[in-house]
Amino acid sequence: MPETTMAATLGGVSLDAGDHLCVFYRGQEERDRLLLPFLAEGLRAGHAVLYLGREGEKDTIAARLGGRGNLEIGEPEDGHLRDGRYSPEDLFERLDDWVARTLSSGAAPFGRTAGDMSWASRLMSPGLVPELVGEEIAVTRWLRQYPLVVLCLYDLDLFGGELIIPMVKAHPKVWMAGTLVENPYYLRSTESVVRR
Amino acid sequence: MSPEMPGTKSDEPERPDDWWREQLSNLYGLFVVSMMMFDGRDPDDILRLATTSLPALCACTLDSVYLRVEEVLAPAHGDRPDPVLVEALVSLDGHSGPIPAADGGWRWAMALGSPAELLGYLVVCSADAPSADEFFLVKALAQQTSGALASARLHQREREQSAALLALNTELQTLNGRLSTTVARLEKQTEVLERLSEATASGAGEAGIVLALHELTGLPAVVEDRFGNLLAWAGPDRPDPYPKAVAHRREGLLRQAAAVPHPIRVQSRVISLAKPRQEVLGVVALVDPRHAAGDQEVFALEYATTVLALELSHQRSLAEAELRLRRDLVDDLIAGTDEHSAYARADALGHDLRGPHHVVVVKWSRTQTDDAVASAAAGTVGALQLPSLISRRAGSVVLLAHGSLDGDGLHRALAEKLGGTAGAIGIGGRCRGPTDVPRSYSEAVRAADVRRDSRSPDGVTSYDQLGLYRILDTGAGSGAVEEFVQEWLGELLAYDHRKNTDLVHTLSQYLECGGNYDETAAALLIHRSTLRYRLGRIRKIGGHDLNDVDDRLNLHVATRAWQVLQRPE
Repeated sequence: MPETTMAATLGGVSLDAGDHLCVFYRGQEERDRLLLPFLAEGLRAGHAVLYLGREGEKDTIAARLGGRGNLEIGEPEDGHLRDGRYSPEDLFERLDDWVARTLSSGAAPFGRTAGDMSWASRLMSPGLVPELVGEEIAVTRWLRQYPLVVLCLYDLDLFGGELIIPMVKAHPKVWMAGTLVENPYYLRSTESVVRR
Repeated sequence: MSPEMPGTKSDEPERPDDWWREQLSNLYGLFVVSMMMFDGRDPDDILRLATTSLPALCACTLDSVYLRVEEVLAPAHGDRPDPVLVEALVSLDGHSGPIPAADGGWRWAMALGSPAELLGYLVVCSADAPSADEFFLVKALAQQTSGALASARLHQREREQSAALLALNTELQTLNGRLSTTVARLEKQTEVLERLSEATASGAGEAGIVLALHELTGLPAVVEDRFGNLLAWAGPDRPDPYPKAVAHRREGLLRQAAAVPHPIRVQSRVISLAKPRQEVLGVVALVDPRHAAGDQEVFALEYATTVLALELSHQRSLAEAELRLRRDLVDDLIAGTDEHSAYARADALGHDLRGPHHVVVVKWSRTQTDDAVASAAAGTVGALQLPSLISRRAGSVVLLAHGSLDGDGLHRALAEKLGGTAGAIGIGGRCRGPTDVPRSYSEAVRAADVRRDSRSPDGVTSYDQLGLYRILDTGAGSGAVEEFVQEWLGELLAYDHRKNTDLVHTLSQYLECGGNYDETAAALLIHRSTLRYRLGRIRKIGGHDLNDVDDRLNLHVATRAWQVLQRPE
């Protein structure tokens, strides 16, 4: 497989397989300016692309990307939520299934996953933050097995410091305001991330 | 600066790696939050980030936020102020410090800003005092919040200044736009003034004015006299022949245009009246079928009208002055004036008084005014290229004509101009110099009178043609003539007077017709037998033989003399 097909960029910055980024943005317009080129680039390169978007985005994002290539788009009910309740287990089942059909089967040499976490703002509670942090830490561990990059997208207009700081602490890399901030001291357990 | 928190231990215990990793990770989180605070948020958003981040950094919670607004500390987000807390905050005098808590727990006020420019306080609390590491993170968060608020305030001021500058700039641009428009309009108007002033100064008259107007507007320009006759045209598509409205329509148009103080549009034209002192001297028009004329074109038309009014007024004044001077000169020559002065005045008027001249007296039908006859006479001599000076007397127009004179041609031309032939022209004898003019004038008057009283009163008679009439003077020394008339016509005149008859006139016509019965009867509008009866009465009363040659001659002379004598002066 040529080296070039294994590459991915975000906002002009190169990403490596195994990168798990916490991407902070302000408003959907800024998100689209960052997200759509990232997804389109993957489709052009023949990558397997999975996008878990906001409610009602399945058709609109597909249309904006031209609907071609190895693209799958889900909405919160297809990933994080089961009947409106947070369900990390369902998410990982979905991810495993997708990896099996694309990367593991050899259908695609490289994978890109992006998830818009806006759905969490409606369910925000002190108990949800540790669960989300736990999921992010698990994703970091999980994706190391595959030629894959993952973006977790958080809207700063929806979330405050109570979620931002734990997410920064739980991600090896953070994207914000056009800058990639690396956090070599990211924490690997939920207890150390979230104060109780 | 904020004081050190009480109870902080100076001899820190040995820290495990995980502790350092977490502390560094917290600082990373704080760093990211700080970046967000400085990304152009408003103060409320900065405070929201600060207060929501607090629980993620330490075991403390937010107690309250106070901001300084117009020198007073007030709770953020519109909360009710706590007077005790406000007093405690004021006592800190811009510094960070502990605040007593009602429940005995730990409470600390983090100053935002500096004592010199205090922005407010972030008040945090917890059941127990935080560790030194946690306190450090809270202090760092407060400092970042403080910096972000100051930055936001600067940005706000900058935005307000930018908005003010933008508003000023917009206003300036608007003013500049207006100024540019005004300058452009003034430049255009200056061009109009200069161009039309040049046209006037060049002496090109109305032709120069319409040419300038055409060049300034790009539209065909026209000058007409008040009757609608074309005086000048500049530009393409000149109609040929030039159309002329009927008189009553023309008058209606002039009334309509005179009713407003600006040009008016009439179908495909924009017209303006040259009307100094309320008298219309001419009409200026732009031919504009596409309705392209705007303010500038109308301005040019208005100024051209003003210039033309001055030009026409000036021309009229000159013409009137020249006419008056010519009239005065003729009147003085008729009355008798010295040669030197007469020559000088004639030279000044452009008339060569040297060489042969004749005085011509025109007496036309009373249906024509003296003005009309004078105007027609002036036009006629111009058309006949007959150098003349013209004056006017009651009931007659006087010409002093240079060189040989075609009297019949003059009469024909005058009759054509005045629309009829009912007029007499008398031509005086030749003048060799100014001193001959009075004589020639009286001769012309006499010739015109004789012609008018003759059987064919319309036509031309020169003094030289008068023959016998030249000696039949009605002035002093006419006693012999009267005696002669009385000798030959006395009986008939007495009879006519007594019986109120007209036998002398009948006799006169008979002799003028050479004794022809038919002609005489026709001239007198009577029957032939009536004439025969009258002639019989004439023979009987007068006692003269009409067939005798001598009697007949004497009677003919007597009747002509009687005609001269009976005419009132």
